[in-house]
Amino acid sequence: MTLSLMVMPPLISAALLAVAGGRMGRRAIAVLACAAVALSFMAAVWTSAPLIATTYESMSSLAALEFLPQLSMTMEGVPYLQEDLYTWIGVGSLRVNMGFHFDAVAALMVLVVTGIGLLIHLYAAGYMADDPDYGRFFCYMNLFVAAMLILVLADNLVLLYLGWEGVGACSYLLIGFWYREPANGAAARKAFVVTRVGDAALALGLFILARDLGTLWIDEIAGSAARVWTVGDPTVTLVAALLLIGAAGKSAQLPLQVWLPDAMAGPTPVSALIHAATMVTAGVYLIARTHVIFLMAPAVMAAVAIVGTLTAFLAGCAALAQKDIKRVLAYSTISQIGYMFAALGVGAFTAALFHLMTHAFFKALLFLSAGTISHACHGETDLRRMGGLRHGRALPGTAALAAVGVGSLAGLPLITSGFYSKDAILWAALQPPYGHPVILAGLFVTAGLTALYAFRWYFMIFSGPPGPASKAEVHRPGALLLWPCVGLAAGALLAGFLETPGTLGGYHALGDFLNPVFSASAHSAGGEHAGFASAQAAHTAELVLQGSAAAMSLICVLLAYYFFVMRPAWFQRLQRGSAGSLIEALWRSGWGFDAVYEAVFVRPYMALAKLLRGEPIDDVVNAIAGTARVSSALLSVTQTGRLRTYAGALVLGILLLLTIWLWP
Amino acid sequence: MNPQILTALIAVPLTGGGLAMLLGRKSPDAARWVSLVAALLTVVLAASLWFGFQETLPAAQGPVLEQRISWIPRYGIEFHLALDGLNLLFVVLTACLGTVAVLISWREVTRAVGAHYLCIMATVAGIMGVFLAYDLFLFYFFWELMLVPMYFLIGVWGHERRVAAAIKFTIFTMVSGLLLLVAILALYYAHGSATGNYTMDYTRLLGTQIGLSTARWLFLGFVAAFAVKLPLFPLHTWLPDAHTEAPTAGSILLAGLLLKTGGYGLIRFAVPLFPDAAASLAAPLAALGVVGIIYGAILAYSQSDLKRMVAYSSVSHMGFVMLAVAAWQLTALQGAVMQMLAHGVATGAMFAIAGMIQERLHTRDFSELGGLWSKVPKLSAFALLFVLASVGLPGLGNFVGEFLVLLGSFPVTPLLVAGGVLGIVLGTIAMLALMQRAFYGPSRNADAIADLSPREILALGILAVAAFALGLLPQPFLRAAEPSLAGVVSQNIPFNPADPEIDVDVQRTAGVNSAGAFPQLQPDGHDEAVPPAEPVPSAGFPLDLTDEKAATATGRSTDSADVAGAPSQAGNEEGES
Repeated sequence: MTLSLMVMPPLISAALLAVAGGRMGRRAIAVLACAAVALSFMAAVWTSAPLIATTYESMSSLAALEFLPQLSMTMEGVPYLQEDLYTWIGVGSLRVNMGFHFDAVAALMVLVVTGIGLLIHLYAAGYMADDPDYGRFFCYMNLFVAAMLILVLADNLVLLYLGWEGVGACSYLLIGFWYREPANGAAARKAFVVTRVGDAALALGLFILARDLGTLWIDEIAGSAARVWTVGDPTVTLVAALLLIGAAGKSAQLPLQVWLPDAMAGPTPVSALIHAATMVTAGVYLIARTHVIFLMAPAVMAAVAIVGTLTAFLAGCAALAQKDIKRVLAYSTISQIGYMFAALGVGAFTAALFHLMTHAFFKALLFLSAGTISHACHGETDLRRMGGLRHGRALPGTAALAAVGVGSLAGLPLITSGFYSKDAILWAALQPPYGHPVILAGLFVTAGLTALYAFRWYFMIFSGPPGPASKAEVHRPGALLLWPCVGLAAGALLAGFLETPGTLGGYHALGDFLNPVFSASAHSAGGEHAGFASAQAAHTAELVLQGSAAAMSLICVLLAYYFFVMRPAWFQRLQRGSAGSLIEALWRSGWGFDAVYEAVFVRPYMALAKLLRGEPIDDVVNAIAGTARVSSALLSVTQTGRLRTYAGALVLGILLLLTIWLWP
Repeated sequence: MNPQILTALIAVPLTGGGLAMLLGRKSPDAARWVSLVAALLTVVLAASLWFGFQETLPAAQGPVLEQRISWIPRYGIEFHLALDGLNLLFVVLTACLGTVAVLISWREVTRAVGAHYLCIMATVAGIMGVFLAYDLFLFYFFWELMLVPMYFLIGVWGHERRVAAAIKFTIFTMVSGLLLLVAILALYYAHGSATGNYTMDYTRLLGTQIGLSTARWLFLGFVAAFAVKLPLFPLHTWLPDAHTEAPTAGSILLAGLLLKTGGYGLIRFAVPLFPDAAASLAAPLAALGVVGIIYGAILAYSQSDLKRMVAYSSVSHMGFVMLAVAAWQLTALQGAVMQMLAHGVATGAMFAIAGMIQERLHTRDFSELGGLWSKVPKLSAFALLFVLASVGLPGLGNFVGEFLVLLGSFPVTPLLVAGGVLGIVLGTIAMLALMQRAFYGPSRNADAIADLSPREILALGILAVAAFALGLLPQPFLRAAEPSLAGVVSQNIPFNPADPEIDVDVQRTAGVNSAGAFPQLQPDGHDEAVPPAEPVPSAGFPLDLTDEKAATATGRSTDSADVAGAPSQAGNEEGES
């Protein structure tokens, strides 16, 4: 029962809100929704405790506590919890259970989902306080948390697909939450359809797995894939490629990234929870979960790394040119998930998950700060109309929180979590067998870009003279808007110390926790799990890399300060130049993907639909009917009702018959 | 259990309809209540069957309940009804949707109320008969019987262009029905002259030996009737007109039940009666199914009428059934059955919602709809639920159907399955557009309209519960249909394509069975059907695993008829050995 205890509270709460939300008061709705997620979080902590306890010597006494769930062990000695509720779909020998599997990777994910989910729910209770559809909002939000937990806990790929589609549907509902505005509806549909393209590929991947392995149980796939396929087999490569497309759709990676910037049409807590911290990282989780398949397809591993690096770089450029406070963060999310993909592609699954966790903290923090800021500026979202919000009676608290967020995003050395997780990825990008200097170079340049756009965002809001939107009296955020951000900021600062590089103490709490899950199965698949850099790695090389990464981010922060605070006029001149404005337009549109897709897919499809609209097949049917009608009209001409004509016809007919009969 | 209950399933709605007609002259309300009572009684009967056979069904070989009454003995025609897991599911669906249809038309119909309920209940009775008949003549009788009241439902109580739509519907079904009749008669004589036993009994006609070219024509005769009902592209053009012009109850019965008779007929009659012919035509039929999936989704997107849009989405959804029938794998057929049940629920609900909107706003045109959420949130929330069901969201019924159809067909015809997956994406585009055009966006007119009444919540609530049940607890439904479907596919196909040895074995067994006869369905004794050929022992064939695997990878991926064509292959191999 332990694992369903995690899923059930938000699910039940969502059902209650769907049925009775209209009759409940605001306070009751908020309490119910937040309590449900809080319960989930407590269940997550409770179930994770023994898992954590068995990992570390110092905590082993904890594991013996009786009220904690009892773990099982795999043959390789990886602790887990399994819970089978019932057979969901059983046809022939295929059994798909409503079954949950809980191991270290799932533990990390559920803690992130419920923990950050809880903070965002609290924030939303304040942020959405004036919305007339309060109940509907929290119904969708709770449903989302439940679906996300199912995705993470599923022990088979069909149930994972249920969660996968469930979070997609919730994302659709929440992007289009303010449904009166048609643009929101368009953004919502775009998100759903684009991710569904990825889901279609994922489904095909499942069909191949079911056909060739006869199972969709994740644990069995790990074992039988190695038996059925050899490394590099075309089928397994195809499966991995299809899974990658699915993951790219959900995680907004090239070439399916186009939906995420538009998804900012949803309320800000939604952007923080779904489009930054949790759902969009589901692709990373999927690849980590099915890493055995990917390790058997080295070509696809390389593709994952390339897709990630390229996405990180291109989205970083795009973030630099956005003028909307949330769109900067959206492109930044795409870019940061690109880092995670790159880490997956070089085989550093734990580094990817480490960055997933730190990113969840600092990006949720940034989104919530953005929500507070535009709330304070009376709904303004244009960065160019803000400024000077740090000063005086404006938003000093939020400014400090946002500074923690951008600092962590930029990877300011030593004190921020982003530094540690990004550093782990950069270092892994060099490690054999999957690492490659080009990947490292791409990620390194992007690190600079990241610092640049992060601090551009910060300076445009908080420095300089007050803009048109920030001149007037600003709304000071209430406690519900402030304290959840404090919690996230604490995470954004401290989460990095869970895993430090060998040069800085070599503290591997997270690696020790996650590594067993990967190394055991990776070994059986004949692949290798890079993990975190091993202790005996050359310290000098690592130091050089860290030093230059730190220098890079610091220099770019200074550059941002120079461009956007000291010499804004100089930068604006550059912007107005012909090359500058061209690049700016290209980057602002996210490299023009939307226009290309519009021309290649949307318009032709609309034209086709318009062409077929009148149902051409029916024309054939109508032609037959028409023929019948015409011949009936022709024949009815003979029905004159006059005896003369009939008699004449009679005689003619007889003559005709006689002629035929008597013809020699 | 008393076999009379099968007759009662047909007689109760018919009687209720007759009473409604008589009472309707004096009091329309009496007609409504009588029909509702009759419909609920049918539900009780169906439910008693469902719960009564819950334990025995999964293990049953052949029908669990049979009723035979001599009717025209001279020609071997009997009043023969039989119940197995497959048609039990459809009986339950029919009873439930019949009730919903009665509830939905409570206020909508004010003209000739008694006659209207007679038509509804007679259609329900005819559909029950179609699902239960085990005698081909009786089957044809019911097949035509359900057409007549439906004609009146559309033609009398329909919308603006009702007469044209009713005539189109009738011509399509009549003509294809006549082809079915000819094929039935030809089969009757072929079986009679070969065995000396002239009979219309389904179980005895199974396994009739007919030359492939003749069988192909007869198969096409059956398929013509079923494909029109299903509907299969390009025979679907009656459907948008009929669904759109029919009154709400008519649309629900059409989409929810009438279309299912086509799929049921294919699974129960067309393929099992002519397995070789079916195998030889599987590839084009599967392709047409997939074309229908995609074509229906595109056309749905391009419509400006709410009901027409839902009608085209039906064309798309029923393409999956054709794909599954052509693939003829247990998993795929299980999916087809689930798809039909789930589609009956979800699309029935969508038509009910369209009817409620029409009743309130007197329009179905998207240019006059929009922003309904702010006015009728409950109605809109239900619409959202069923739209999500229609796009195949897991947890709701359609997902299980589509997923199993595609999963089961994939080993046979991966490329067509990829086409089906594309169709799902296109279907998503269409259904989300529906949601946007009708319910989101700014409100188009200022008049206040009433949200759902308790009666309407009840009707939609039944369907919502059904959609969740099909999606989250499909196992009872799958288990109920499994023995019947396994029976028609072959004995026990283990789904384990990873193991080439078993895979090959399965194909051989399947081939032998369908080329010979269906032993488990043969009545004892007096039929001279050819005895089943000796199963080929798989040990007799040297199995080179790698070769087999290569064959799986290459051969299957291109030719969809490959596995369905196993009968002939297996036959050849047998001859050579």
